[in-house]
Amino acid sequence: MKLTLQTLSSLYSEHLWLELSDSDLEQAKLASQGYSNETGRNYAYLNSLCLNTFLNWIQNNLSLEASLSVFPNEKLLPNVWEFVSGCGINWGSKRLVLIPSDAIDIADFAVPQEWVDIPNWAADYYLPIRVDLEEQYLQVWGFVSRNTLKAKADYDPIYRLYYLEKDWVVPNLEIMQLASNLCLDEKGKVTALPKLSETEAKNLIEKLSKPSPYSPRLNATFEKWGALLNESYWLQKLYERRVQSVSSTISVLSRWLDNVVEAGWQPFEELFNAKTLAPAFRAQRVRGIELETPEKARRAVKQLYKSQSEVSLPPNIEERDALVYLIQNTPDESLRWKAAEYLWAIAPNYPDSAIRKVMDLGVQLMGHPIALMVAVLRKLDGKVAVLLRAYPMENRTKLPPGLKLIGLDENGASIPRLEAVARSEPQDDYISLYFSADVGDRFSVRLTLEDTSITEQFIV
Amino acid sequence: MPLECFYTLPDSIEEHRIIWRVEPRLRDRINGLRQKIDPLAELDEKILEARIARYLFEALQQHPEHELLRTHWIAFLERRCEKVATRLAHLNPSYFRDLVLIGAEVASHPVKFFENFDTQRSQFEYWYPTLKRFSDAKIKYLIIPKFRELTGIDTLGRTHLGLAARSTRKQVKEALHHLGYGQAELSRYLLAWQCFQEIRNSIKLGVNQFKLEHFQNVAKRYGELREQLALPEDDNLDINGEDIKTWLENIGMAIRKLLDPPIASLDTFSPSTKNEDISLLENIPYQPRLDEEMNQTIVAFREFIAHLLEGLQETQEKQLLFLRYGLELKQSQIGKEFSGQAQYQISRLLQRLNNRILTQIGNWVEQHLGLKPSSECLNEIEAVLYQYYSDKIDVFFEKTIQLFGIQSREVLKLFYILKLKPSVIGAKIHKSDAEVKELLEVMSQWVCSSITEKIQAEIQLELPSQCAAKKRITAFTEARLETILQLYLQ
Repeated sequence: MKLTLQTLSSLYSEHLWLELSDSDLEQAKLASQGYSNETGRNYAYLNSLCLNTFLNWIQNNLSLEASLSVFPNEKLLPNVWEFVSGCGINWGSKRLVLIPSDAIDIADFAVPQEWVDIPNWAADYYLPIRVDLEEQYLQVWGFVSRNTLKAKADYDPIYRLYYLEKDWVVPNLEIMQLASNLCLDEKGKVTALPKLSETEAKNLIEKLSKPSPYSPRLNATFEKWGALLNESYWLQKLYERRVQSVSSTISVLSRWLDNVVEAGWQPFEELFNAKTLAPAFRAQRVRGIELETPEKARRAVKQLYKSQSEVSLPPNIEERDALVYLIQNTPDESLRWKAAEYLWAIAPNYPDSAIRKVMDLGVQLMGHPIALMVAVLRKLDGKVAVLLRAYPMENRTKLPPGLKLIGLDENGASIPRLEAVARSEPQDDYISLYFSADVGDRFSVRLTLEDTSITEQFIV
Repeated sequence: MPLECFYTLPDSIEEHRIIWRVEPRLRDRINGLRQKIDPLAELDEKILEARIARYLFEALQQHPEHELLRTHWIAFLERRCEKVATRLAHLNPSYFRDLVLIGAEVASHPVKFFENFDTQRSQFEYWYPTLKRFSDAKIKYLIIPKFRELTGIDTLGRTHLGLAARSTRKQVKEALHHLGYGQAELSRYLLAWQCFQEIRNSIKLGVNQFKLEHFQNVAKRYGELREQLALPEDDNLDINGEDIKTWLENIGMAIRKLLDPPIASLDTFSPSTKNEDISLLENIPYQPRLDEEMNQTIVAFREFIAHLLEGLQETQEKQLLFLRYGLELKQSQIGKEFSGQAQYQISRLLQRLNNRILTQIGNWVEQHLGLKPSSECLNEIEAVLYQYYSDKIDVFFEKTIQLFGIQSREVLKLFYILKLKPSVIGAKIHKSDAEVKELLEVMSQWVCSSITEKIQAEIQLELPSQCAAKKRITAFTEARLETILQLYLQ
């Protein structure tokens, strides 16, 4: 039996319980972009969630005679999450570090050594936070001073984590506030780290900026690693180098809706002009339905509405607006894109129509010229609908049989039922896939023909 | 519950209370200690209890294998379990029995239970409230996860792998240790688990969707780091993905066994009848000069606290502190007791008042005991404040009980002290079972009303009906009634 937040907070009334709204989660998801790997994104997601929620609580509940700011600063803290979990907060003359965890118990918590032994990073107090994303709440279960952490924690030298058992955690945050007001020195001495020369730092950055699935924090001795992170300039440099190595090839689809498009993508009409347009596209026809006259278009739109029962055709509406209405309101993805295609055919740049871009992949796939089209539109529920399509190019009118269009998840694994294969009998003019996703979701598209393949990466 | 807490063990559970039995050997030892420490019976009961507790605690640190010493502390922890179970069972009275049984298992390992109670935390002599609060909090944190009906850690619906993924390192270590894993194996498992966490965090995939390749990645990472384990070669072989999967599932199984223990009977622990070295306790060194100094310090400290809190000029300040430390209400609940004032104003007032009071006490501690202030010290001072107001409430109970007539006191004694069933009491006083129950209920409610009136008079505040304060009074009435009756009706 899962307990409600109300029951949990009455059972553990000494802890601080903070609810998370859907928009908090959404905001955290947006904040988790811009990292070189999933580790960084996960850290960013959990930490930005904790940071924003906790800062809101401090501002609304504690008498703020002391100043409050984020450490190192608002711009740099997100960079920290490329390497290590934890949020620094400067509160008056004290520093707090929030340590989030998705563990389901609070027997202990782990503080990365960076937050304890890097001189510029070391904090006065550490606050363990249990994050329950399913039930949407945070449990701030107390705090501990750096003195106590150093004295009582079990240090893991392999992963460089200080593990402290619950017994040493003071549950009441009001005590922390009082201790801060009394200016108690509970940080203790922080041993200076040997300084790195400019050359050493550059070499280290070079070595540690190679892409990897994990944080590079264990790939150097702590003395060198800590000395590097101790300087904001180097921290930022390392972050930029790591992120740069992976981000240039990723297309961010939600930005397309604001007309921000990466190089390599062009409007559909530009690529498929009169010279290159395959016969399938020379007539204003969608899947065999002719749309070249207003009357044919009107009839086609009516027929489209009749083919379903969820959405009623609004009265006295022009067919373009009727198509927009259907696109936005139908629950049927297949119908949504059919309507979108009608609209492209009738009025290519109509407001609220789906944005479609196309990339010329050249002849990489066994000599066949192929183009990849991606279309996006924003749905009323906030999700983004995505259509992927592979077309033949130049003077080809049909796709090579066996060409596969496959959707892959963020880990590179095939997404079930997101695969299309070009047929040999009859041959296809194009093959498509479509799905809906949340902003921030990552996926890739792979085109494969026999032994060759091309993969393009996307963030929704 | 003065010294009985060190020599009575639970015998059975009846409805929503425990029937305790006296362990003669334990009682004799406590009486012996009492004679040694307070031959002239001059000491306040609470001070005597704290003094005996300190001796027993220090003796336990020095002789953790001594069965009698351990049993004294098992008895103490069982009493604290009852207190915690009573509070938790306020959610649902039917929980009480199972909570007590789970608590019996927790209480049966006192050495382990107190391993993180730093004796330096008892920095100043008023340490006993700290020990009790430490015990209550730890019992709560240990009981709740094991109690499936009440748990926030729902092992149901989680796979072994899921449990391994979402547990803390301490939980993993505890679980494996519980199953008898040796140090070397424990080190290897913990490293594998740590690698698993790193890989889990590096992919956006639920652990239950992990394929062999993911476990192979864990194994690969383990291979990169295992040399740092500093184990002999034979104890530190490389492993593959299948091994990792098995290890992680073993961890999950171990955690499940730890969290879902079979609920034993109250016979989980019964002291053996063998004649152990009983001279140990009789030979505990008695340092009269040190104890005299300790006594004076405690007296001075208590006087300072009383003077500080009674000397508050503002009525509202007294009210706030009583509600906070006496009735243990949260700030948000306290705000609601003051109608006509904005809640945030009350919270701010309380924060400032708290700061002032704790600062003054902290200054006294630093000045008179030479102790460096710290968060932990401030936390202990809070425990002192809780104890101060708790003692005040005990006095209200005492005065209330004195108002009962002889016959009523007799019924209370028969039920709460002699632990007789209502039917047996009824036979003695010629009433039916139902009449006795009704009588007990009426008396309990009367005590509750009387305590409420006394508190209201003390703090000059009319508590709204159905408010959090009144609910708290109702909740602790039953628990305290037994303790107070034992003190005053024996």
